[in-house]
Amino acid sequence: MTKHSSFLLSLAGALAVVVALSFLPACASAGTEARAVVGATAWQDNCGRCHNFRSPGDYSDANWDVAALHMRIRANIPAEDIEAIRVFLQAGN
Amino acid sequence: MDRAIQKAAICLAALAGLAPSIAAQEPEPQEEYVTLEEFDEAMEEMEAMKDLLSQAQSGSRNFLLSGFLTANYFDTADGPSAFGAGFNPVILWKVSDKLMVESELEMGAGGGGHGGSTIELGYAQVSYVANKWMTIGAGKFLSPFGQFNERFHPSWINRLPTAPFFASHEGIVPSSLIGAQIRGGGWAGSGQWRYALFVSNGPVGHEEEAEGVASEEGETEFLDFSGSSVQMQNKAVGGRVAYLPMPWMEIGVSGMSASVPGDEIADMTLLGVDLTATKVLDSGTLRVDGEFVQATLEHESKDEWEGGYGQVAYRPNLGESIISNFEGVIRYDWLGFPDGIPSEDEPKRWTAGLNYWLNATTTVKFAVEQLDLHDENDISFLLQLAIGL
Repeated sequence: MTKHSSFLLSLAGALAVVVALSFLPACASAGTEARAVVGATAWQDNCGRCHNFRSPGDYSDANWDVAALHMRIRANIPAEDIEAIRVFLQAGN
Repeated sequence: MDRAIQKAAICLAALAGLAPSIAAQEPEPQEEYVTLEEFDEAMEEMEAMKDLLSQAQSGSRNFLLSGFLTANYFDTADGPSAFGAGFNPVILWKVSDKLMVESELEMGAGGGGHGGSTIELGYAQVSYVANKWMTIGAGKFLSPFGQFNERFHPSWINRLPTAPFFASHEGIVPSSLIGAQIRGGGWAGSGQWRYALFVSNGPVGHEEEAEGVASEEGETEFLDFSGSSVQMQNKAVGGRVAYLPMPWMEIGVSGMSASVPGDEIADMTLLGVDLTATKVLDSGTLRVDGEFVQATLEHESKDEWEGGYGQVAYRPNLGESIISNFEGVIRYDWLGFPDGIPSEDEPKRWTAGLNYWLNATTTVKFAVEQLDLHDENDISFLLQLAIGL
């Protein structure tokens, strides 16, 4: 391998790392958005079956953390659903 | 030329004189700018300070004060018209991601309650999330038997100002239990399942409960489920399983069994079915709820009670129109007593209500109820303001 080609290879590798790193937050963000979309449906299905919908703005993020665990226990809401509902409510306040 | 040189010299002298003061006004570059390393260091210090502040507020961010407030004016056929009030603060404390402490205090005064002023512990329980399918709880908790007591009892959730007979304080199902429970839920294909299993202090008879005598034949009252009697060495076991074939519909089956102390030990059995369906349509929201409970007490004879309700509520969706704030409700509920008690002593009731929602958790309810009891049809008027906190 010539000096030139090894340099190009190193450059390509560094570029790949930079591209991958820059893509990571986007992946996380897309995951959060996807969960919020799932959460909107779960919110409508689970919360609305018993009571009117509280607005996401009614509580702070910390309060929704507490309310979500409370409702998971009270209504036996599956873990995946309540997590999606929490993300949705916190994204919307 | 000399004048020009003279002017230039004066300007230079003036500039030379001003220079120190101008220089003094200019900030030192080192004071205005920081290096990237210094910036990172400052940010780290700020984060550390935020952490310290957060620790100083430990616990406060994991609390939530919730609950509900109720104001009534009941003009009942069998009693004087009266105002009443209730306040049920609920304290929620998320100790950690897996540990929850919650408590409700029930405070009431005036009409619409038990009369006078009352303060009771609604529930006080600690729950631990063991895994995604199971939560373990202990303390005093809302009875998971059926749906009404656990899900619909708060006044801002209950669509009418009163509770159905079977779920009231004189009813046949416990509103709360003292003991331990496991509960949870999950997905099963396109549907979901729910469960709750409990062991609790057992019931005793209302009459002479201190002596542990079970309800005698011919009595209309069922059992005392408060779990606070001195005769609580007996235990009750029970639970509820439910299936949601569609996300907006839940169908449940409940059971409870206990031995009731007395001169002669009696066996108590409670069986119940319940249904809740809330369908959001383009034209509005339709809610259908119902529950049926059968209670059996076997000692010398076999006495059976039964009770239930069916309810339909509809709230139109007409956009910004004020009509969208109204909700119509109609409910039928009844209570049946053991053989030997005249059927005219069994209460049967129709209630029609109109609610006006000020926001998602505040409503003004107006209801008219017709009570069929002792061969009389009594009409009562109920007005209630309910605020969910």
